[in-house]
Amino acid sequence: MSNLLSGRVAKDRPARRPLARAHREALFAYLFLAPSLLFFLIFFVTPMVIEFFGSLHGGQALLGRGPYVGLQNYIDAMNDSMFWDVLRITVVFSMMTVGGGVVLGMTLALILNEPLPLRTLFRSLIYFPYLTAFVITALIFRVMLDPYQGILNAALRHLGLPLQNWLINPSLALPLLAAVTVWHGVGNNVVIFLAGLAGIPQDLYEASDIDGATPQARVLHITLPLLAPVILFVIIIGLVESLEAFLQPFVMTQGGPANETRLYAYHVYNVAFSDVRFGYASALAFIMFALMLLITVGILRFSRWQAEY
Amino acid sequence: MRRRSSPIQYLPSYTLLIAITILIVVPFIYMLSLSLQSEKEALGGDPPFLPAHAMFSNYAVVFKTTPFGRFVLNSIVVAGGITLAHLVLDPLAGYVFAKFRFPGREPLFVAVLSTLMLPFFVRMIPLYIMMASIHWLDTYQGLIVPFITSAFGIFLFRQFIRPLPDELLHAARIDGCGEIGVYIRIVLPQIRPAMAANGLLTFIFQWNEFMWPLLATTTETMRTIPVGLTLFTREYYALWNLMAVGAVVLFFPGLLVFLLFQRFLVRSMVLSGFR
Repeated sequence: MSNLLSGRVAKDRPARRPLARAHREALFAYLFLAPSLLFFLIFFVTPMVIEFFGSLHGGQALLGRGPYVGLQNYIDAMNDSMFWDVLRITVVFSMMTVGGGVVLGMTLALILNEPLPLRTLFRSLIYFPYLTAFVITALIFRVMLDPYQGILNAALRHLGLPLQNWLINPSLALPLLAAVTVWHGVGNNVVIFLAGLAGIPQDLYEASDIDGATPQARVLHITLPLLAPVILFVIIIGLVESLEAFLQPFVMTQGGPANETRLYAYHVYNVAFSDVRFGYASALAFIMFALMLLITVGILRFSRWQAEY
Repeated sequence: MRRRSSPIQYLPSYTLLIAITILIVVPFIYMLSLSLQSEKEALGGDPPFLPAHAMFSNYAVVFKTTPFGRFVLNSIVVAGGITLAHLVLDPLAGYVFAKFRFPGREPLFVAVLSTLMLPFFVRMIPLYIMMASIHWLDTYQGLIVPFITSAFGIFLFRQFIRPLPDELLHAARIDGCGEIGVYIRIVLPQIRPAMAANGLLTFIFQWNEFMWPLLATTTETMRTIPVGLTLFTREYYALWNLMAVGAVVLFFPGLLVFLLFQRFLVRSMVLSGFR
């Protein structure tokens, strides 16, 4: 009975109804979205603004309130040799991690795309480390790589091979951190690549088979070009993640030996909470953010330019 | 169907796979083994791979003599609280983006998605300052509230809710169901799988989370497992075998979820298009 009286029947006054309904719809939309939007305003927008203004102040005060110094923090960063070292180390780490992750991930995905026996089991196993907390990965490898109490050196000793000082070795430490990172994350790359591979139509392969293509040629000329967007996606995500890596130095090396593993995020953390220089730390964070944006945009532009031949 | 060739050609691939699998599985087995080793075995000069006798007593020791039990409680409260909040807020926002038309919808959605691109460490210092200034450090609310929703969850639900037939919603409205009623009685029951997936993923990620709990807590009694474990190892004498106990406990929910939902998890990750 209420629908007869409430006037919500389609034939009545068609000109007025859409406007009222659109208003009502928008009202409810904003109402329901309000909590989430408020959240993003408070916890994403506001911190960015605070960070920006904080970076323009010097000082050690807890609330980041210190004298206004304009761009001095940024200038200080440019003049600080440690800043450049940290940047270099982080970029090198990032390249090792992303390169290793993409190459290994792609190789494994190509293998797991074939109808091998026990394929599902392998897929699950390879994804496994990604599901565990990175803290665990870092702690376990820290123990295994310990020169005195670690089983890796113990195994070497039993095999009569020379012992290594692993994480204390300035040339080995950073590559080791990269290797651990790849170990942890390669499963995720494999899953993403597998999804991409599933999207390639089989007829392309069949046509190439008829033309007598070798397996290598198939991969190089069909699979990889078609997977380019997926590979790009993985590279970008990997770059962003590796540039903000923190746990590896924090848990495994404390930035050592001799600051050879002092990654950027770890450096920022120390500047902020050990040196208590919030303004300078904010500037450092912003620099990295700008760098990430540049790199991401740069890669996307490059790929678009590549595709337009 | 491709021409089937002999399985022998897979031998090099298989060898690589087996090698990788060993590389992956060994550290986990070692972690388990380490948690059952005696102090002499773990810290002595010649660490074995497996303990001579499995010392299950290590688990009791950890819970009785260290604040680890408190860490577990904190982790449960924090991860659980965040998950509940997500399950309330994410589907609602996803529903609005999926089924409502209103001015500014597309730009707003893009803006929300763009928050995913923001690395945490750009926000972390201001967040710390904000929480410090309202005295929310070392509190549960300080650990929970900054994470009560995320663009990832909203995106997930938007994708899941979109295919729901609009007629269903219209019919409910015509029958006099209020908007909230439509949401609770019609939409929510249809998206139970997505709720389960989002709930599990959120819980696991928050259970494993390290950075924010590190910054937001300064006292031992408020620390969550990942932070408590790491700082414990660094500040006190590093008893690796006991630390391994903590690692196993931290690891356990992830393993459980993985075993129960492995195919589902992998597929939902792929479907959502993000990691």
